Amino acid sequence: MANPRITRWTAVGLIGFMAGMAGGATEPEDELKSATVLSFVRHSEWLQAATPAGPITIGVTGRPSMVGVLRRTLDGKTANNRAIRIVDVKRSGDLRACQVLYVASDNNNEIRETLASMGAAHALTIGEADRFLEYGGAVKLLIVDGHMSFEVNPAALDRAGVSISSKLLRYGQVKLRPPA
Amino acid sequence: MKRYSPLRRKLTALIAGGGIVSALIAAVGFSYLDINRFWQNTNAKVMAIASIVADQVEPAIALGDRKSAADVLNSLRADRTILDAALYDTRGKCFAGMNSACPALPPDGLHRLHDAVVLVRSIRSDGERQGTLLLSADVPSMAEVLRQYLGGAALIIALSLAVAAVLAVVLQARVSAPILAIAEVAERISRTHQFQDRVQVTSADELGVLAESFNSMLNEIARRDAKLEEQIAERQRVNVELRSAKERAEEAARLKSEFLANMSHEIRTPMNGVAGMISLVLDRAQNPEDREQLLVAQNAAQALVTILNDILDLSKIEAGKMTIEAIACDLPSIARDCLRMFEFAVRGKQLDLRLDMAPGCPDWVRADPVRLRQVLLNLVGNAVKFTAAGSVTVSLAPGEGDVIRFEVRDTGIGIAPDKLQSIFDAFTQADGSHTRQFGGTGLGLTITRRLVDLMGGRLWAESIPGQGSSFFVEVALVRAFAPEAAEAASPPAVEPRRGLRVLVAEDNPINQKVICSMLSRQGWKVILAVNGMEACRLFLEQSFDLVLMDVQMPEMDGLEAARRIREEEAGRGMERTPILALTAHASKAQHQQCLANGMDSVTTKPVNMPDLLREIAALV
Repeated sequence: MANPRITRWTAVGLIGFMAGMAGGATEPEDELKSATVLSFVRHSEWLQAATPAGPITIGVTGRPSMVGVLRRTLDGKTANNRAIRIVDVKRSGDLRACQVLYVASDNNNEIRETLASMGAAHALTIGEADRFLEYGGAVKLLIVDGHMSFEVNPAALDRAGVSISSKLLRYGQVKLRPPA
Repeated sequence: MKRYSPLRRKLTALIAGGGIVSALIAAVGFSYLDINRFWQNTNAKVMAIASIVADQVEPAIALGDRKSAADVLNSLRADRTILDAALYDTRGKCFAGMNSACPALPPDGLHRLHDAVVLVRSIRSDGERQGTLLLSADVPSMAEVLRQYLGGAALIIALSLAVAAVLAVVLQARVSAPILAIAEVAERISRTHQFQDRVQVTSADELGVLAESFNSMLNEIARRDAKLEEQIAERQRVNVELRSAKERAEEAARLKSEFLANMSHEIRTPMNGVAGMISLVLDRAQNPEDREQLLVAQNAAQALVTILNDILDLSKIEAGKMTIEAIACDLPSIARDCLRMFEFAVRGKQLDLRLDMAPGCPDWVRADPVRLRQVLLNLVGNAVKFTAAGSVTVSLAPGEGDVIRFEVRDTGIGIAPDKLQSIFDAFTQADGSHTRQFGGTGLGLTITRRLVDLMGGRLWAESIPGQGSSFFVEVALVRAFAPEAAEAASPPAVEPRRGLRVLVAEDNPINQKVICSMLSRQGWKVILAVNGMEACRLFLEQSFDLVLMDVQMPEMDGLEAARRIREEEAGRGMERTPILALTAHASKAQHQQCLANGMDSVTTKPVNMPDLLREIAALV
């Protein structure tokens, strides 16, 4: 009889491979990621100077499907009594107006460029790529045992001037030294 | 009677009962308070835990991290009061649970079950529902808490009983013993009546006061007893004196009455002799002057006998020896006889004496004819005596029922109103001068009233001084039928046989002389016996045509002698010899007694010749 754990990992690996082949994740996975983003938005605090009044803007780069999913799931919702707005960064190009930047891309160069263009902007950066934290990203989302988990780069958070509630942090891993 | 129950037992029961009841009330009360407090605490605790848990697991739902959520929920196992915890997603599906399965999801809110609190609350993030948390906590039941407290209550009850037992011993010494001592003395006193006994006062509390009060009550009773005994002794002494005085007075009165009666009797017998002798001499006196003198002497003797009879009657009435008979008698005849007695006096005064009988008056009634005649004679005699001119009317009229009213009305001197009552008192006349003017003893009306009282009637007088008086007698007389022998009662005018041999039994020498003279004058042979014994002897020795037997005689009385004579006659087959009784008592009872003893007829003393001869003629 086959080990169920091996079977499960095989299935997840297969899904990941198929998703990579298709150039991104499946829609239910994106919806889970979208919910996780919302959770981060709701459990994060920005420096006062970096957060002008008005809606919280979540900028999205990378897979266009992710933009759609985020828009569908997060538009109209609020965080700390502020409306949430989804912005496609490729079109608007204004990264500095974003409080959150979601990088839906596995392309390391794109990630590096995007993060570099952020400069000293006070934005919480969330990505999916394995080396997202290495490139200076703050939060990397990953799927563990069928549910979302994440890794956090405290240095990046400090730089961005964003603090995340411990309530949320206890569900992820804090990478004090991002791999070089 | 109530069952004896010692005070000690009651107090012990009271203390123990109080302790038990208090313990039970406390157990129930504390259980109730405790269970309420427990509910409140549990509610607060569950709500606090739910708040913390909801806060912690909220990101897990967003992340879809069931395992972490389950870890959080499982951490609640440390609290043993938490029975279950479960997390549901926004669609109400089980997300994670402390136990293997999630229970069915009730609506939001705090639910209170029999022995658990179930809290269902939403998990929200920024006002948006993320899921639902269910927490269930154990709460002990009332019975369970009560069981715990009853353990304590049992301890309190045990302590109460112990305290009650100790207090009972103390009460026995401090309370019951003094009370029992008082009760014992009270019981001893009620048994022995020795009021000198006292209770010993041992304590200075209420019981001491009770004992002192009891002792002072005993002192008071003893004092009263002594006083009462003194009073009783004093009263007994006075009673003895009074009784002695009363007896002396009664004895003196009895002696006086007896003396008066004896004297009267003793005087009457010789007076009868005087009257009898006068009538014998008068019978043969031819000289008119002699006859007139003899008549005066006879009247004087008769007046004296009347007075003596009055005194004897009054004595008898006062001694309660006067009896009233009730025999059939002829009322009009009695009335006419009375009036006839006064014909001579009325003729002398030229008075009009009338008898007026109203219609409806019965002829025959049951009454005592002798006493009724005496009443009428007294009243008519008074009326004639005190009326100088005019009339005296005797009226008889029927009243209500059997009542007959006799009225004796005269046109005499009358009686002053203030004297109307006193004239009925003994030895009293309306005016003292009357005795001198009209004579009399003043006993007539007294005897009359007493006789009317004895008959159950009433007597009263009405008068206008100078115009006349009316005396009324009302007495109930039952109607009677005329006796069949009444026709034969009229005295036959027969001449007695000649040459009779008569045995006279009489103890009194005067009476002997009078009777023997009367009989001898008839030419009869008279043999005298001085008592009943001698009479019996003579009767057997000789033969007689007639026996005159005095009833009261020494040695053997007339009744006994008559009975023996009849026995001898019967025993020897002799012919029956008539016996005529002579008696001073005119009562019906004596009359019947004489007949019952074998006598044939009765005549009363004093003897007058015509009556005697008539009786003899009827018998021989």
